[in-house]
Amino acid sequence: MEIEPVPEPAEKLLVAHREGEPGAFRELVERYRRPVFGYLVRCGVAEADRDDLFQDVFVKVHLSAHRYDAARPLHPWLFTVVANTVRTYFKKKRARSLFLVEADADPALTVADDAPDGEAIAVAKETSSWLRKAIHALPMPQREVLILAKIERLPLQDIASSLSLPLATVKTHVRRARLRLIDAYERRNEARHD
Amino acid sequence: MTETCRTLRDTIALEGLMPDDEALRAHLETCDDCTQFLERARAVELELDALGPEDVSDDVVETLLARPELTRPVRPRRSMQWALGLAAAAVLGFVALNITLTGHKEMRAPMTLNTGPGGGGGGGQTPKKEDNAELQATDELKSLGYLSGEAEAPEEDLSSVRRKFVQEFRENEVAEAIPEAVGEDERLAEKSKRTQGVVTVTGESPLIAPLEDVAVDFGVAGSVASPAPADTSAEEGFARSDADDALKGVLGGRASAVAPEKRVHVDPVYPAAGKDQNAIGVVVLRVAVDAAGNVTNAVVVRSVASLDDAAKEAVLQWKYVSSDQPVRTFEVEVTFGSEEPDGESAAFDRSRVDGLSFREAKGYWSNTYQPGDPAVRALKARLESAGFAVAPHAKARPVDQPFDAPARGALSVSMQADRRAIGGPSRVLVQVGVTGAAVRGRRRPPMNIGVVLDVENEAPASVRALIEALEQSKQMGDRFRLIIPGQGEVVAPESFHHGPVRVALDEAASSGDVSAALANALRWVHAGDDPTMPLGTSLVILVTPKKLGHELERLSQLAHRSAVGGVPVSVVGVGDAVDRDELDRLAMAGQARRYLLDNANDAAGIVSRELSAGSRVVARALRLRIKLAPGVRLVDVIGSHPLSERQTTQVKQAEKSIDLRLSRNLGIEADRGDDEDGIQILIPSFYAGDSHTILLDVVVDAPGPLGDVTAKYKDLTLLRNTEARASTSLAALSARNVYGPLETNVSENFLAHRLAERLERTSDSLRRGDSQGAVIVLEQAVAHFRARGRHHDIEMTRDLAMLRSYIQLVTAASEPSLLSYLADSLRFAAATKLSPSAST
Repeated sequence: MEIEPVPEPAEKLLVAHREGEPGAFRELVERYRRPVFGYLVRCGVAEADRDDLFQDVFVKVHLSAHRYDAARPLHPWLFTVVANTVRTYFKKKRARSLFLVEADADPALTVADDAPDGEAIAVAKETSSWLRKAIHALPMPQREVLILAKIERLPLQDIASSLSLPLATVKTHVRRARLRLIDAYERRNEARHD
Repeated sequence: MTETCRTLRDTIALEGLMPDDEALRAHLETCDDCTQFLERARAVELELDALGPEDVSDDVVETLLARPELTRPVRPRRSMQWALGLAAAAVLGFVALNITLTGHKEMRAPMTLNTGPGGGGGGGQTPKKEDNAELQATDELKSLGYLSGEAEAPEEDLSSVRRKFVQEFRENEVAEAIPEAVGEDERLAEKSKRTQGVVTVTGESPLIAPLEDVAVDFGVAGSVASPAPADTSAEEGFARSDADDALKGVLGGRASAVAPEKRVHVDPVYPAAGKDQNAIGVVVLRVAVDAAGNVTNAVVVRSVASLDDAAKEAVLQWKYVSSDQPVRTFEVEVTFGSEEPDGESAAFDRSRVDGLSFREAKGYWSNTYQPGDPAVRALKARLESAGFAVAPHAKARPVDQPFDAPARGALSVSMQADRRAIGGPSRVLVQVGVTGAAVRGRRRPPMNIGVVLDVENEAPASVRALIEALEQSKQMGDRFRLIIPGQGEVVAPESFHHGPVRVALDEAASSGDVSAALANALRWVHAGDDPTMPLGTSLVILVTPKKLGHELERLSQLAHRSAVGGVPVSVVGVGDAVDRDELDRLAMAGQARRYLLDNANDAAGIVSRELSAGSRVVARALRLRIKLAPGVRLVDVIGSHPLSERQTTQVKQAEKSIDLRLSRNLGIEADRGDDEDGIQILIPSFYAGDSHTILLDVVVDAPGPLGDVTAKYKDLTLLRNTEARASTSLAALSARNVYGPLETNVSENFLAHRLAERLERTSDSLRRGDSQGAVIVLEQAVAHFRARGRHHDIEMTRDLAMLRSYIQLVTAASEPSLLSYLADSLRFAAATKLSPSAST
């Protein structure tokens, strides 16, 4: 009987990379490529920018690897980098969109009070799922917390430290995000019955 | 929904699961709504769990792994490097602080307006500035109105908030008025007391607390600025080193998240040095407040050199609500308006009665009522088509006018002063208000319309929809015709029905000169113009998908001549190829409207507006004659000016022309020609449901009559000449009830005029390429409004937010196209502020 090798913990991979072990970083990227890319997609990063942002995240991981405390879990640390990269991305996008209308923005989709910018709305248009649209319509703080909590399965305390938010604020964001999704679900059902 | 329902739903929403709590589970069994909610929550959870994985392509991963940055070894921890980096950050932070201190405070301040104690930053928790740039950017955009937010008051609550503010404003006004009643000596003593600093104890009011505390006495205001970030990060500490170090040096405390409620306010003493320099502006200070609510330290973070000490001295006497936090720090603003009403301040300060120059209260003055002004409509169209996401002019709202609709006839007129009583010589605003009847359900008159359809080959769907909408709107007596260049009149009025129209559209192919087609259309429409019908019931619409190019000049001449003869020319541009500026010029020459038709859904709206445009006028040739009582001296008619002899002749000719035309068409007896005493203002057309105000700035020596107004007009609802009159007077000051809602309305209209003037002046500065000058005008306006305005007024709050938006945008803008857009936006906001129908 062939026994599958037990994978190295991700923490060890980054430490190994830090110490110059070849192949460790590739394995780390392979391990995290889906969660990181999924976060970018679900946060509403435009399709044209996702690949670049994905690379930026891992370059930052490499450049910041010396700051990583190996005694702590890697997952929240890495998502701190991801979340900050996405925030910076949206900040720049917003600065631009302050003056320029996104060509393909659909005003009809601008329903959320502090909804994502036109780019995120455009992403929402690409998808067919009401849920994806509803997630994209969430305010950014609620969106990122919900994705980390529900999709990346990070404990709320880890999200709080990843995003430098008080735990109570994280809970509030999670609660409000779910309430909005439930509301969107109900509205969608009503629309279907009409 | 019960409290248990809310708790249950919150728990489900937090955990995404059925709650463990027994009581909540028991509630579920009895509450159908909550059971359904749980089912929906479960469905959402299932769908969240079912979201498929997203993966990046292998190529991207390979590209990443080949990036040169990854070939460099990971940097080891080196404390020396870290220290050097920190030192560099400190230097950069110091430079950044200096830039911040010399920059525009308004770019950070407006968050205050929607945020009150306990109201912002997630229940008193303010996230780190650096880590939460996104949140802060969102908040800032919300506060500027680019995004709406949960924190904003719901629309339906505004009226109640406003009522409360008006009530408080009235009380403040009475308090201010009393010194006038007790003689000049007491008044001077009171003024002297104020300049020494007046202590005001602010009561607890959940409605008022979220807004700013502003003293209105002589233009000095203190207010809480944007909440300071709580958890100051290391980098921020350097960026704010001056202020924070000074505070921390004394206190060693932690910065507070949200500015607490102020309990005691002390006005700053306007310093002699400031008076000498005529200094105004906003001093921003960072203050530390102890647990008892005392301000224990204050550091100037934005300076107005001669006013800093006065601001600091006052702020150190302020008191806030106590707290269990040993130290709280946040920023506050102290606004100084100039006490002396010279220059810029004179526009706002109307307390002075001596040394004024007066105007003769007679002759013709310019009309300030310009609904549907083609220039403003053209401006609006340019703004809509500019493609910029920001629209600060959307915040501009006209003042709500509390005038009664006319009980009978087309118009009602009112006269109102800004106070009910005076104690001695006073500067008073007198407002003449005109309101048009709503005339609901009024059937439009028969229309005589020629449509010139300049389309090549087959008419596009949007054009078909337009013509079909016109055909479907046809009523008894309407005469519509369709003209195609090169083909002539393809559908005559008598055959303008579905079948012939459809055939014509199928075969529509413009092949000739559009100018010739327009000339023919005008000739036919003029020939079919029924002299018994009111003006505006005959018109020509040119529909074109093309640039007009060299034909524009000829078309404009034709349109102008036709409009002068009583048949306006509207233009509909189809698709993207049209030149909007060309269409604007043509519509202005034709004294009508310009539309852009991008899709079939817009067609019915365009037709509806065109058909109703002529029938919205309820009065023509409105002549207002305002006579001031003896002893009432005119300083100015705000926003208006006396007409020259030549202009007066033109106005009288226009009035006579309308008079004769309506006499001929509608049988309303011609009655114009003679001049009258007093100030005369001629308004050619007044629209249904509109309101308009004219403000007179006067000096009154004693209580008694102020004057009267007569409105003579051609009433299109009763089809006869009609007159309306009103008058007003001032009582002797007794004690209270000097200011009521109607008096408040006069002051609000005055401030709206002043705001509009500043917006126009800013627009002019931008057009000259003087962005810096534009920002100065805006900042002065903010300072004056904060000082003179009624800060608890929701309209004032909105106006201030708009001004701050403009400051931010003008400061940030450098592209010529954006600057031009902002200049248009400012001018449009000014027009909107003064007239609800400026762009209709």
